[in-house]
Amino acid sequence: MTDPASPPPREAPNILLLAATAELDRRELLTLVAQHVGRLLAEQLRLVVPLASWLLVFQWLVLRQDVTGLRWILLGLVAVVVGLMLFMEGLRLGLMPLGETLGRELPARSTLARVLGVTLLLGIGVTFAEPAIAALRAAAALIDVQETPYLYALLELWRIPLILAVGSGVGLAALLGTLRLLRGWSLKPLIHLALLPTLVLTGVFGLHPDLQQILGLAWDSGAVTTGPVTVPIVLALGVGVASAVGTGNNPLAGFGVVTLASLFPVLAVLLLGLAAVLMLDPADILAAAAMVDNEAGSTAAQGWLAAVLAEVLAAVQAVVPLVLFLLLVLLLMLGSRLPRPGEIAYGITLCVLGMALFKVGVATGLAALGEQVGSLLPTAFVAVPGVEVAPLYDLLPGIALVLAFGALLGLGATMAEPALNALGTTVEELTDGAFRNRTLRMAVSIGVAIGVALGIVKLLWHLPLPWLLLPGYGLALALTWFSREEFVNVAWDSAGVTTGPITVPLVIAMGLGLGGATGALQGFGVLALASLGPIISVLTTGLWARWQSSRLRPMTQREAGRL
Amino acid sequence: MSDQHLITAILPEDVDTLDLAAVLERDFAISATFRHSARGVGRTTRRRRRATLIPERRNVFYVIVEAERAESVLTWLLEAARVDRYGGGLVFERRLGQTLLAGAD
Amino acid sequence: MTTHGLMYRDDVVLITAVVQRGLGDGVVEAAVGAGAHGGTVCYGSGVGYRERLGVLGLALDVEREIVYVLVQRELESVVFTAMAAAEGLDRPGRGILFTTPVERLAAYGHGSAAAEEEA
Repeated sequence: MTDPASPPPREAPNILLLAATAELDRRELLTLVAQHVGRLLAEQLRLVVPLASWLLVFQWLVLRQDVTGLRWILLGLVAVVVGLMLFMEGLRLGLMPLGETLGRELPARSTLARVLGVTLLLGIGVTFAEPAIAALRAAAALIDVQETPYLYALLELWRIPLILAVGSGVGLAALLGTLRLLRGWSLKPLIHLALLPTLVLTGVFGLHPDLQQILGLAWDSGAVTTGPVTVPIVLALGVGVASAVGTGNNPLAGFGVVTLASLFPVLAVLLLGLAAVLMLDPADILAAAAMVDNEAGSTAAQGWLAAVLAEVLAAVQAVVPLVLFLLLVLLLMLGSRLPRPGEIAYGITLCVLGMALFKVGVATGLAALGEQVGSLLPTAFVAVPGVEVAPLYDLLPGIALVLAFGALLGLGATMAEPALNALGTTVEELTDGAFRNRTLRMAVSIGVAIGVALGIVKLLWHLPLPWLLLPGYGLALALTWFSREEFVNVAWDSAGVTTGPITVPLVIAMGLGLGGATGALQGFGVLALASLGPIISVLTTGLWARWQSSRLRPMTQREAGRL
Repeated sequence: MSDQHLITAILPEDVDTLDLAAVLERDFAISATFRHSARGVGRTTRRRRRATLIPERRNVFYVIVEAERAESVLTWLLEAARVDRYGGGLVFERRLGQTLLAGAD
Repeated sequence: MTTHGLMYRDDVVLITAVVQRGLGDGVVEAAVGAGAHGGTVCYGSGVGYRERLGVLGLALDVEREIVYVLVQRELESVVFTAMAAAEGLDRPGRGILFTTPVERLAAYGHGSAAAEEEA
């Protein structure tokens, strides 16, 4: 041991302060800006290009069909890339700082009842703001009122109750998630408590011919509830609450607010379905359906410009009310001030612009391409009227190709999802890079890939959904039991945020194509499985990492001994 | 006021730094402590081709203490934070220049 | 040397690098390549430079990584030079690098290496 009383002579610190001292001329400034934009653009290109090329290559080489309207599709893809870039930059500069400020200030300056009230309203509000449920209705295009009257009734006649059920499910989940943070409850028992009744109900519904119809819808609504605007705000809120409460050593303690948001809506829709079966008579539904069909004929014609405007409107609707609500709470209820208000306003503007461009791009580019490939997909293994060459391949290789297509589609689409990107960024930020954004997204994407492939198996062989969901969630429960709290939080949260505006239309287009060819009654259930996959894959990644680091330790010991 | 030293501990994630801070406050009457999380990147394996750097979670914990008591606080910290084991992290001590600890000393 | 236990050293310096987010691992790798044992990285943000650029500052990322590497004094200049060369830290806006003296260091290990960082 050295003598602390005689320290070594102090040396002059060697300082390289180039960044702080050099003055930049205009050219260097422009270079900096160009580098920044280039970096942002490259990030999105890396995500969107593989997905789009996979779709194009599959259509050309495997299905051997031309892509119709290629020019518009390419233009749409450019819009997706630029839109995503603007949106993510807007998140970074506007929405995330706003959410973080609220998360820091709300628990510090307000009563428990108010905090819970705000989160409940936020949860319900976001379901209306980002109506992913609307996307689910597209999956109902194939349903037959005669065969599945109750499913039709929920989607068409009980639209508002359905959205309300999902909304209150998300609201309650956010409320319970926040209460959990404030009280320091563990997430595991909550997951077990919420999952058991849902699984039991699913099992029971699976045995009943009428109740069976709505299982797919119920589980899919759980999968699509949270979107790219909601997720960063809810995450930031959770992180803020957690740091205000003081969470000790677990930097990921703030996660888990949206976890239950993938379970409670399922329960709510199941109960709504039960009510529908008890209250409605199939004959009445058929009569109502006939009337709706007559009205629909007259409003079907819609122009190209109107479609674009609708997407822009949806983008404004997704961002603006939510931001106004947050500002109202921050400025009026809490009386706090915004840091860098100009920058936040700029960020929010970027969010709206980016979201609008992105949505238009998805509609004209990605979804259009997905629909083409999806509708042609069955030609790989069955004869399809109007396509001479079909079936292109023997039954089994054809099906293998379709499974590979679905898995890679799920993988690529999930990698590009903006909400998951925001989640990954937050995880990386909170763990100081020990858990990387890319690692998390890769784990989640692999889970989605497996989930989508399972969903295709379900569609092709008409497997009942409970057969896949019950063992799957059983496995998830077992893994949850063995995993560390922080991984449980992140894994279940990623399940809640995974399926977003890129995955949903692509998966539904594929499901419709396959469902139409194989006579499946509905395309539902694929998204539910795509949402289950990440829970299992992220928990497995966590357990694997723990095993790895315990395996490496003895090597270090030997190394230390040798030196 | 006497010279102040800054003791920095880079610790594995299973050491509860809030606990350390509480004991320092109680037993040493030191409240000038702070912490943040970090990732440790070290040579974990001896692959010849390329040293694999595997990130792991770390907590960085700081204590400011007068030079005279630095010795005893450091010794206590090494024990309490279980630095005396493989992968137990490390603790180092620096002299500080001008220091203001309003209400903390 | 085969003795294990707590080791104290007084011939160590701390090298700190403040770099653009994403460059941290490269800087640690360079340090390890030059003989350091590892590094500790945490996330932070640098704001001063950005404020001076005004509106254009929006194009600068404020996110930084702060890298700590402890090395024996005899390795200081080698490791410092390697870290400065890595990731182009000598270009504007890429990062700051400096060393500070350390009175003493304690870690579990063996007498020959200073900064025992591995898990």
